[in-house]
Amino acid sequence: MILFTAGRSLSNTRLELLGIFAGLFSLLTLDCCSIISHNLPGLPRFSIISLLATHYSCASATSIARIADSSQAAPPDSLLHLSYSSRSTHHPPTIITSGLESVTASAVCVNLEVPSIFPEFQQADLTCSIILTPQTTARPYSPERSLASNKEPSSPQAYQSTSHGQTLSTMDTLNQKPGDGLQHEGNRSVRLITDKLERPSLDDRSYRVIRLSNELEVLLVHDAETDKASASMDVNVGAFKDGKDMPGLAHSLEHMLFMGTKKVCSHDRVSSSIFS
Amino acid sequence: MENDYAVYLAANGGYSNAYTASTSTNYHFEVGAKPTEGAGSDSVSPFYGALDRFAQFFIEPLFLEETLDRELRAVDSENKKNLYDGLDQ
Repeated sequence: MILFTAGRSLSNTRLELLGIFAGLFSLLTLDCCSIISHNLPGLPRFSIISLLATHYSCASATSIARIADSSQAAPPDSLLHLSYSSRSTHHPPTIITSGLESVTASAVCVNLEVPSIFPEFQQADLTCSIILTPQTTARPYSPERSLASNKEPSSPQAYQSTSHGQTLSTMDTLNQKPGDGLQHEGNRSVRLITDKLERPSLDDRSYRVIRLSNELEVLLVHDAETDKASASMDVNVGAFKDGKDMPGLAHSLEHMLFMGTKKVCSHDRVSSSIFS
Repeated sequence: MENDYAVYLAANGGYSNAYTASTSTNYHFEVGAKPTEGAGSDSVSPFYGALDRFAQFFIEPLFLEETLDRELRAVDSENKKNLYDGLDQ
């Protein structure tokens, strides 16, 4: 009932941040999610909705399915963030996203955390981003799918790709203007996820989300007037993954990547020997 | 070759950095978007050269044993400093 009240009181504002935390204790599961589900249609467009659910019990393992169902009621052009964290030590969660195809939100991000005790979830944190534009179908993404080549985690099967993304080469993607024809280049192809991101009206940069052939997802930001170009690579692992007997391992790896690579680029302007 | 990346960035008005947080590790760089003055009119943005060198981090790092030993000391030193600053390493 508290959740219900929170949604109602916020629904008068045009742009709002609605965070709902649902602790899913056994039989309460259905109740919590149906409250969320019934409350969403009253929200205005352009809402930012965050649904967080933690599953503590050993009873119902299909909690995330309910969350996905409730997301269908999200208003158009909203940003929807679904987060599911399982604390259950008895059942691996059954993660079902049926119905996400009909979500009207402009962007959906799904974060899933499951206990590492389940052998099929060796990579304990599954993060799946689903980015979709209004009136299109969901485009599920599972980075683990390419990493765990021999034994796929069971959950991404629920994320069987419904993507029919067009293909284009990397250089085309960098140079292409939105609306240009898309090209295909064999196995090196990358897929266009979307170039229709919601952005501030004064922002004259253009944005594009692509997926490389190695499943890395890339956000390209183009500004024709800029003096500086930059790139950032974010790896979804950090110091929390250091073994108890190996503190500093992740940080050391970060340092080591700066200490030279095998490929030597020929067009150096300054001898690197004076820096070593 | 060590430091080729840093040298290239510096020669083109750029820099790089990285950090290891609790649940993510981030590597990034900035470099001049346009060729430096004096370069031919047909020369490309230094971004391409920088991106190529940057990508080699994740393709074939040298990972020399003697370097590792040195960096372990650097990490330990940096961590001792950060004990005063907060969680991020």
